[in-house]
Amino acid sequence: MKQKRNLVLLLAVLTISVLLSACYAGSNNSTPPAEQQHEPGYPLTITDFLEREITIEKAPERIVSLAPSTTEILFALGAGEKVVGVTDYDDYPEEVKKLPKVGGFKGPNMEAIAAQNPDIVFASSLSGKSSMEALENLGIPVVVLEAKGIQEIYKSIEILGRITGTAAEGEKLFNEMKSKLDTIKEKVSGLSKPKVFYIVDLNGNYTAGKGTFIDELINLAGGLNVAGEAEGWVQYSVEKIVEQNPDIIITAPHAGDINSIKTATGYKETEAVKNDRVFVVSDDNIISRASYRIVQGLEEIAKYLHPEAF
Amino acid sequence: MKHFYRFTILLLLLILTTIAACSIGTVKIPPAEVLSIMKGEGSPIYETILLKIRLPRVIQSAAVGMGLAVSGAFFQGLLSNPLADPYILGVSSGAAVGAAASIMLGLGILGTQAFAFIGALATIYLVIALSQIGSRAYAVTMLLAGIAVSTFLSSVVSFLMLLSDHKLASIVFWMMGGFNLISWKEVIISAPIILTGIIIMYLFSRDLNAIIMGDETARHLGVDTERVRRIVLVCGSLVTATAVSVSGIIGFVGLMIPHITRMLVGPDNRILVPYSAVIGGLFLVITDTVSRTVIQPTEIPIGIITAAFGGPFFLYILKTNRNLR
Repeated sequence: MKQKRNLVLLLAVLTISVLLSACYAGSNNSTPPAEQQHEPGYPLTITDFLEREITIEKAPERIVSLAPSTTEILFALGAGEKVVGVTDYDDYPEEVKKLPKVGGFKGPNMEAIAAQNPDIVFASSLSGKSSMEALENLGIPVVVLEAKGIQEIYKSIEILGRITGTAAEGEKLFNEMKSKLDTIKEKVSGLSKPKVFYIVDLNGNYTAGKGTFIDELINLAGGLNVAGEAEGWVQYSVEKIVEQNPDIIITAPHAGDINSIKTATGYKETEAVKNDRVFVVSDDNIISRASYRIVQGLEEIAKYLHPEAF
Repeated sequence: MKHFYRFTILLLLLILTTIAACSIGTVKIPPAEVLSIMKGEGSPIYETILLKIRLPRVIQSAAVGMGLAVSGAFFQGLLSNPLADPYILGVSSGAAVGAAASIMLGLGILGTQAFAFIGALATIYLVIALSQIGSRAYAVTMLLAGIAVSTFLSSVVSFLMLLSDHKLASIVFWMMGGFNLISWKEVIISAPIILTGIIIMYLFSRDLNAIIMGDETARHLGVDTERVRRIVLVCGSLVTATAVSVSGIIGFVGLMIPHITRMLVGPDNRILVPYSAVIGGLFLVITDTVSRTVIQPTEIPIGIITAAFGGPFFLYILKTNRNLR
């Protein structure tokens, strides 16, 4: 009996010491305070996508990004080496895969974020209101970026450029996007508009309606989105696909396999399958992320719709 | 005799509803067009929609509704538990593990159906094997084994979803269930299995009546309770696994339809079972029609509609049925 009690005591001591050392390791992670001199342009006040005014005292040196799209833009602006925390979903550019992960499937991990001692956190609406408030209570400014269309991506780029002191690079990125977009628009203007159906998932027959990037891309690429009358991500009627008879079907690599699509009842009968115009975009992310790469997605889709123009 | 008339009327109602469900849909097909399609001279688009999309879908929903309701009625009796439904032995979570694995491997729709079926059957086999004590399977042990295995498999599914990243949505969509990709291929394979299973189970409805009185009584009446239990369990599981593999997890039908029917026609299984079948078929044909027409051209996953009806109904049963207390 006594032996047992000793064992319990030993275990308790061990547990506590492990916990203590873990806490110590956590606090050890912080960096010496950054230099205090005021750089030109700071303090800076910006308005984020939730119409909140946020004051940024100095150029951020340690940035946590809670959205893959924001990370992509930060790297394109040349502020990539200041990013100290990303989510599990970040995969572009390649080097972000090595960065510390501070969030994922279950949302942001508050401890992991705080451990990185960030000067600023870029969140999305998916990050969760309570977590963001908790971060603000720790004195970390939180900027919410939530672009739902290409115009809003421009706004994200502008905000990120101003905050990280890379406004000139932001301008350049904006101009590149704009000129690519204009070139594509010009090429497809005046051409007849094919009917396009986008498959989010064959399981349940999900598609992208109004208010999604995909709908915007199809329209910009000179096509008509068959599901354009529906709102958001929706389960679409197979009957309606047969009636609308799309000329082109587009899907993403992770949506399901192309053979299932070509042999599914209802799809089999469409012009798109008959004429072998079922396409898979090269990467899910270039048509779904609110990043500058969306114009690559636009270019791919425009080429599927109007191969003659390219 | 009273039942003969009532049942005939109900059966006619099912047939009429099936025909009506075929003429209702996202795409409006004028009645005149339906006639010319039947003569074989309709427009090819309407013909495809009516004969290749809508008709198999309606027939499949009727078959699945029948199968789930009858399995539910038998499982409730056999396990002497009013909360039992066709998924009680872990069919749904077993199927979900199979489907999730297949979706992650990218095996396509057919692969998903096959894997879901295998997953469902393997799970039931495991549960039945686990609940055998000596040569006998006990109802309570079986219920507990079913719940434990289900819970374990649900965590496997959650973990697979966590790992699946981009495929997460596919798995969720599969689990929500529905008839939107049904073609004749699925109907031809699954409907005969479901109907045969129902008929075999029906043959044992008198024996089930005896078993509900207690195993002792049933044996005195000359019923081989072990044999009946085994055959009915296998049939019910096979029917449920088939239904799940083609339509995903559709909740509440197997639970609520037998209860509604019991309130209408009483507890005698010889009467309860055929009524459950027809009412179950009717219910799913109607809910599927609702799911595909309420907000056109979008569809609502059918599980949402069955649960929306099923949840409040279930509470109603809890409040009013004295047998449950």
